[in-house]
Amino acid sequence: MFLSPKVVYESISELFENGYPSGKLQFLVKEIARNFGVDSVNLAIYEANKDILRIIAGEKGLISKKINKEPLNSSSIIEIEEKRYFVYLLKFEGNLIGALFSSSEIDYQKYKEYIEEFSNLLYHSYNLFMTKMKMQRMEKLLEITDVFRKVESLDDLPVQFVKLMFKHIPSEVIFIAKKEKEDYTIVYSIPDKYKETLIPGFSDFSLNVFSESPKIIVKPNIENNFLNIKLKSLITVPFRLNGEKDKYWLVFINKTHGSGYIPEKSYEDFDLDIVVDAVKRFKLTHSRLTFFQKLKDEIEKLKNLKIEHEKLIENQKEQLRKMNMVHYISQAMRISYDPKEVLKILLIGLTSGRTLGFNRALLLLKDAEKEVLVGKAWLGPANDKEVIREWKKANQRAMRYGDVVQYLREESMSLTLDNVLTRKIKDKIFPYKSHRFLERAVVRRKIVHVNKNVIYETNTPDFLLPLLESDEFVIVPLIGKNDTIGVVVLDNRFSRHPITTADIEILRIISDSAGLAIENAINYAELREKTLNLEKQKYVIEYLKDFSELVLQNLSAAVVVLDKEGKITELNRKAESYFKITKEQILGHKLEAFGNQFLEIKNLAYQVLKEKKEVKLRDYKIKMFDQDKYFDISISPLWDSERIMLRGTIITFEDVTERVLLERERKKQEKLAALGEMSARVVHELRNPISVLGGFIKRLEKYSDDETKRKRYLKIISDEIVRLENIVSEILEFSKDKRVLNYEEFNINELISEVFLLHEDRIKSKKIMFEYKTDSENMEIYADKSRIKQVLINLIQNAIDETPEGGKIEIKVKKDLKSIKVEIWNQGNPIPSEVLEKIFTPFFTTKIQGTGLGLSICKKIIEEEHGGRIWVDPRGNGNAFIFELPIKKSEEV
Amino acid sequence: MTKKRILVVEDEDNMRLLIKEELEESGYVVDEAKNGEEALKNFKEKEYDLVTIDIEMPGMNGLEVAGKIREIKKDAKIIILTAYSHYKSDLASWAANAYVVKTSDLTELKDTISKLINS
Repeated sequence: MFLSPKVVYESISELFENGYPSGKLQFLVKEIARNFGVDSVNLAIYEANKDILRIIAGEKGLISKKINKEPLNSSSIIEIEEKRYFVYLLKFEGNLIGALFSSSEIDYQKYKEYIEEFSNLLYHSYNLFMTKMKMQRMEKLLEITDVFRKVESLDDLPVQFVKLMFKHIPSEVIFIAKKEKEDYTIVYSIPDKYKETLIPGFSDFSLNVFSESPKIIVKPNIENNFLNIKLKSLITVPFRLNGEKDKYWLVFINKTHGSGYIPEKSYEDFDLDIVVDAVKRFKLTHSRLTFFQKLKDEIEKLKNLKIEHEKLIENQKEQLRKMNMVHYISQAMRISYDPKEVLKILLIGLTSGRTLGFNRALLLLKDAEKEVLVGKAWLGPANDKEVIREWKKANQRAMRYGDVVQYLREESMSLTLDNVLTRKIKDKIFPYKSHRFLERAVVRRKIVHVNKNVIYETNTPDFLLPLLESDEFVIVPLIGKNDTIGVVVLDNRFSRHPITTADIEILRIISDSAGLAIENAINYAELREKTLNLEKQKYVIEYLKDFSELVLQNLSAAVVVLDKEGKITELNRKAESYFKITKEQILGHKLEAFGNQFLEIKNLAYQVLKEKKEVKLRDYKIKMFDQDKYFDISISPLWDSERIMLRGTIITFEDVTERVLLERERKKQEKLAALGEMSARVVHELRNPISVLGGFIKRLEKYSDDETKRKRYLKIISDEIVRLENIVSEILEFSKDKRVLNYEEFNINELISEVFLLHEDRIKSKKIMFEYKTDSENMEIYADKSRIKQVLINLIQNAIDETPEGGKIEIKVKKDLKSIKVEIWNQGNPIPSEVLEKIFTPFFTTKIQGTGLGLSICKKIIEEEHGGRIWVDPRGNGNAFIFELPIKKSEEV
Repeated sequence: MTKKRILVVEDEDNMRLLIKEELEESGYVVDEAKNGEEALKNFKEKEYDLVTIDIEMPGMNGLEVAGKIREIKKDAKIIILTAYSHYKSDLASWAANAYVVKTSDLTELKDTISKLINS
């Protein structure tokens, strides 16, 4: 009777799983004995690693007896515990797998098939069981992988790892040791108590255990093991972690298991495989976590970098804005001629939140004689309480303007410098010599940046620090043409914003441009004042003349009295000295006795006698003793005391040569200054056409053979030359002093039509409504036609530029007895009052293109050349430019 | 190899034409813009390897245009063309990669362009 495979498999599995031969195995052996017809049979299996046979079941239950297989072959006899047994080897495909020990001999031939069948079943059951075990171990590995995948913290990893190992390969001790120099330290262990144990490098233990490759050590011969454990078997696996130099060992000591049958009590290869594999996974996980940690760090860094970068861009934007503001501040200062206004613009520009936004600006100007600085103005809130209120108000004002230049100018006009701060420093003396900050700024013209560190460097008593009460400030010298004219001290006392190097760079531009602008304005103001004083003197003279003839002699003016015949009857001392003649010599003579240049005055004196009306001549030039002298002359009728009888004429000559020359000098200065200030604009205006010309001339040379290109380039070149000529002639026009005028009689209506035709295309393309009104068809005038045409071209051109699409232009020509008035009105934004003042100033322009000379040339032509008048009148929904010309040449009026 | 694309921002027609012809001859593809608004419109629509901007223009000035372009693309390569040599100072250098003074000789401009594009 054959055995059931199920019974064999179950018996074998039970043995291995429980470690005890079960009843089933016992039953199996009895069944075999019964089959053989013998008393008893023992079953042994072959343990290949030890090359022994081990009895696992038989008449005495579990005996676990080892039997050397060497002398055995089938049908030999062996003695076990003093009892003889017949041996029948169990083989599968020729390999030994076990043996049956029978108490009596059996007929082998009879049972051969039975024994072979049993061998087969045993082999397959064993294999099936081992496969199942492998699968279970595979599952363990999977579990290990799974655990590793779930670990997220690098610190946690070794602990989890060791715990896991302990679970799957139960051992007395498991630890990770790390090599440190020559010795080894346990970094993790189960049980925990071995942690931080030091194992000397040259101990027996180290030499055996800390090997170069993974291995199993069975029954090692190690005397001192530092752990106080009897060593039975060990697994040791060396490893390194990715990117680390340190060497580690994972060590298992003494496999633990229940009692009973275990094919292998010490660690076996499979355990080692699992450990090696687990270490690999551990290393991978460690790398992954390290990588993630690095990635996290990198992301963090990147995030910070991004924030920094954004900050940088913000800063750059802010600097760009500030630089533009510097440009506007300089522009606003340049177009102002009043020194006070220039200073105010500077202070507002430095402190307004719209522009550079410093909290406070303290202005000290240098007194050149005393070599000290004098307090002038201090702009900013007086204390913390004022800050919010003042800045809010200032911001509201600032935001009303689209144009920064306009804002600065209007704000400066409305600003009064009688605030709390200014009262603290007004006209106070600030000696700069040997002052540690001010001297450097004033004498060496350096921007001095003072911060906490610098302040507390020395304990020198100082007047500036207690005044400012700030930790950080910057002293900016205002540098004029030859010398420092003063300093501005800036701080952020309230906002406490640090002053950056970029701020300092921006202030450097201010330092250069502000000084020049202030100096220019001061020069103009001085010149103006001189001229004004002279004017005042003149009024005094007229006053005295009206009320007393007695003071004649003491007058600063020369007085000559003529009788009805034109003979000189009286002259004062001044006249004697002016004309270098004595009273006695000249009395009774006619006026031409002074020289032919007095003929015109003589004739005028006749006219005065006739019309009984005073005539005044201003800045009248008389050449005397080879010198051009200028006089204000008045020729008045001389009545007797009752004002009934006309007795003659009284002529006063006031020498205004000095004033005329000064005025001329002033004009020249203004012109030069304007030229200088605005030369950048002219350079820009000229540079473009010149560059374009040069560029295309080069291209022309290069492509001289190409007909189409040649034509195109020549056209561009000729256009640019015309443009260049126009700019150059405008500039020449402006700087030229005198011009010979070609007077002729012409009808101004015809001239206007002519100019209109020039602009017709543009008027149509902008859909401008054009209205023309004239008092009469015939508007004859005596003037230089080409010059007046120039004026009309400029004014109509401007009108078209300023009129919006579909807007309106109106021209009116009016006439009275002496003059013709031309009014050119266009729809458009009314010109603001502060622009009105400057509109005829050379180089002033609100446009990007052009020299800014157009209107100043018109003024020159109308007023200086033709003795007329030109002005602007913003009205309706636009502006009217009006000029008035005498019908006849001015001298003939 | 594809040609590099340059945007030329310049308000004066003939100047723009000159720059365009010269740069095209040097092997670039050149787009034109008459003012800041046009420049920004172009810049949003296409990728440019470099932008040259005239500093003095009606409306937005060159520095403002450069600033706006950098807002769109913070590493845009920008050359500012100027009639004034003082803009070459270090102070303004961050607003653009380079400042080139406008002259009839565009060699400096071309050199600067090729240096910047190849950097």
